[in-house]
Amino acid sequence: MNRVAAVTYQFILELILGMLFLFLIYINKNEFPPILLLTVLCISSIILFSFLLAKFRNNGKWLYFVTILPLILLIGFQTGLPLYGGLGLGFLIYWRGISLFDDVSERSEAILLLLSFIIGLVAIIYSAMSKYPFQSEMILLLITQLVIVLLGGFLRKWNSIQTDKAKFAVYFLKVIAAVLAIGVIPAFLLKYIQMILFAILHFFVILLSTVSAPLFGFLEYLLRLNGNEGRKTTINADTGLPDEYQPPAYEKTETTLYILLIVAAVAFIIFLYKKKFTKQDFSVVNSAVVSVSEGAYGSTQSNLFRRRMKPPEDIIRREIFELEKYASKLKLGRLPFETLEEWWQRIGLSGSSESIAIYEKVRYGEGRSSIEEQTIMKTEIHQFKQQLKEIYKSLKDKKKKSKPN
Amino acid sequence: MSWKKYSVEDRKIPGISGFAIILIIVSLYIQSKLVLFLAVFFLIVAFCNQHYLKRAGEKLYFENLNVKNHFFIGDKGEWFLTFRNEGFPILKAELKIYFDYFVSPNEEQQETSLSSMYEMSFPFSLFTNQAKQIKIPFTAKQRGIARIRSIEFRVPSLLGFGETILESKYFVKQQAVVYPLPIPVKGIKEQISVLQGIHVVPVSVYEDLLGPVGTRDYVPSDSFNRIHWKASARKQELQTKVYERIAEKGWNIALNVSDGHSITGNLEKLISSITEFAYYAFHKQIPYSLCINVRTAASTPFLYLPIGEGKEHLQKVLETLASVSTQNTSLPYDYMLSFYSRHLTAQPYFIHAGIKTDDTKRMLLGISKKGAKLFELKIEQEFGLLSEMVIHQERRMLL
Repeated sequence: MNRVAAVTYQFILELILGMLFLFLIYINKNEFPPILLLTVLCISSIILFSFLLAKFRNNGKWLYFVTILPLILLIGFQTGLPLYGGLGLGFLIYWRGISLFDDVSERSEAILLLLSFIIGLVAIIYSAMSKYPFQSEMILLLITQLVIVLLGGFLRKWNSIQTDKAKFAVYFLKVIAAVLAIGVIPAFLLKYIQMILFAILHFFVILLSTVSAPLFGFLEYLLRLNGNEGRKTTINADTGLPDEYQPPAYEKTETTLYILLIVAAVAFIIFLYKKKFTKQDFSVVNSAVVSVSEGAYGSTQSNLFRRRMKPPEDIIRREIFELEKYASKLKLGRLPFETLEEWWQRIGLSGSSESIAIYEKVRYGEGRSSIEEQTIMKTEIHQFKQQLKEIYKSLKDKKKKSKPN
Repeated sequence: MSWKKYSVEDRKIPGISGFAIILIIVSLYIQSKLVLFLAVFFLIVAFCNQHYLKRAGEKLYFENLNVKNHFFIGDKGEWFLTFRNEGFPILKAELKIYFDYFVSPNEEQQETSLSSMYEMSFPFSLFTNQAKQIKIPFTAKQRGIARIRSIEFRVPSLLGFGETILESKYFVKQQAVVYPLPIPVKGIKEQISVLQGIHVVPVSVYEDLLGPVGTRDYVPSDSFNRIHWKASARKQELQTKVYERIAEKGWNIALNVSDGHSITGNLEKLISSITEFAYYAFHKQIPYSLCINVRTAASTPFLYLPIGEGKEHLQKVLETLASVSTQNTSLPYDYMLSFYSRHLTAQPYFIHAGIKTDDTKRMLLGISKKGAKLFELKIEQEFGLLSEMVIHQERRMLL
């Protein structure tokens, strides 16, 4: 029974997402999508299907084609749904039913909610632009989605406890009631909020104009100095011509604002995705902390550490450090386990053994470098940098050549 | 008890919040109360969710009972965990506890996720201002001191997005001491009962001044304060007091847990043999002390139990033996022997158990030179073997 409920719950969430998408299509047609029919058909058939699956296991799949699918087609036919549409719907329910039934582990509803919000946002803006009459139904659908997610999450937990059921239920309902009450207040104060917001915007506009006015005055003065006094405006306010049709200026602003909003939304989505990916890297390290096992350094951490490393104080070591940095920019950097000699050999730098000896003396021995040694190293490192550039160029050329092949 | 806390919020929530903010601006522009309600409703839900994750478990108290229970192998016991919640209600959290493998949960399907620990998890719900006691039954399986190493809660948000993880910050004080199991030790009766009768009284140079046994005729070598004046007056002849001759009949057991740089493979058998000796000594009322070369932070740098006898001493010995584990840091055995002979009360009988190197032999020779009789506890298959240890003194230094 629980499994049937879980499948139905997940499917309803997916269904709402689908309906929002349907709305998006129907806005253009300026019609109300057949969501009532869809809801009744889909929910009743998914409940029946999951019952069949729960009772007859694998045979339930075959029974679906014998019992539920013809029913869907029949009802669809009666209500004017095209045959292909009915078949598509039938297979969709079959697919979702099986995949949800096989894997009833707790799925994150947040992803469905996020997708609903994305589609909802686009649909709301689009419907407002095209003055779609069923906009409020769409928003109600979104609110229903949110409420179902909240209730479903709670019920799943609540169902598993034995004692204090009433207490938890009352507490949760209180929280939801409080949230609803707080949510309703700004809705009633919409006009005032609007006023305040636009007053703030107005204030900023005035501020901007007062700040920019002297600048424009100055520009005008400069233009005048350049001998533009003679030039006069060609626009004459009183031309005496009959009024020509001019598109209202606000329409342009409106469209630009809409475009800006959509661009902002798209930019935000891109930003979110980028953030998500960078966060995932971090969470790997984080989850290692959570799951008790300690002492594992993630690769990202060591990278951060390397990046923050200060250059050493000794002149020769600093030179080598700079060289390493320079080389890593050219993607020829020294690997963490390599000795200097190994590194030079790998990338093909012709370093003298003398310079390696000097570096090793400074790095591992406690000796200090003399001025002579410093000059030797400096000149050699200067040469190295040039060699690195050449190596980098030749590598690039090789890549270019190999690409067309 | 305070908790180490991590909150893991669903990563999509900030994203949806971003869209909700955009929706607010849109709602102001298109003058839609419903859209504004939707956006504000979600934002408040997200805020409450975050607030819950931040504050959950803040006033969840754990009663850290300082209880030490003792068990023989095969005994059944229970861990008691008492929680009191004065903060936000916790609904369907997952409680995980990790404890040592010396005791095992009664259920058959236990998991040992970490090599030396059992991990158990239960669902846990606790409303505000309520307390809950959880009993976890277990069976003592192996010698050792079992502790609950960690308590972990995974509290899901009441509103469904994300969870808070609480980890116990301090050690749980409850302990379950599982005593070692004795194995038969051959030679224990022969060595101890025979020697005990011969050596104790007549050879000793010490006398118990509180235990007079009678008088004898005075000889010129007797000291004046030994003269029993009343008896002399009665007999009209000088009489000397005679006291009971006493000798220390103590034993010392020294266990070498190390084998080179690691812990000896025979550790369990050696400990079981010593347990057998401890029971035997308890029945025969033989006092003994115990040294084990496991490093401690006390003034004596290794595990040392001073001489004693009786029930209490037996309990201490068994507990000390239970506390030895393969994860202990060992101390060089020779260092322990040297410390023993310099700072601790030397006993007339010395039992060595464990590996002995040439250096150890030299040290033991030093101990035997001071008058102690040496014995060695060896492991032969499934038995212990107590035998006299003979170390030949060599003229040359062992190289």
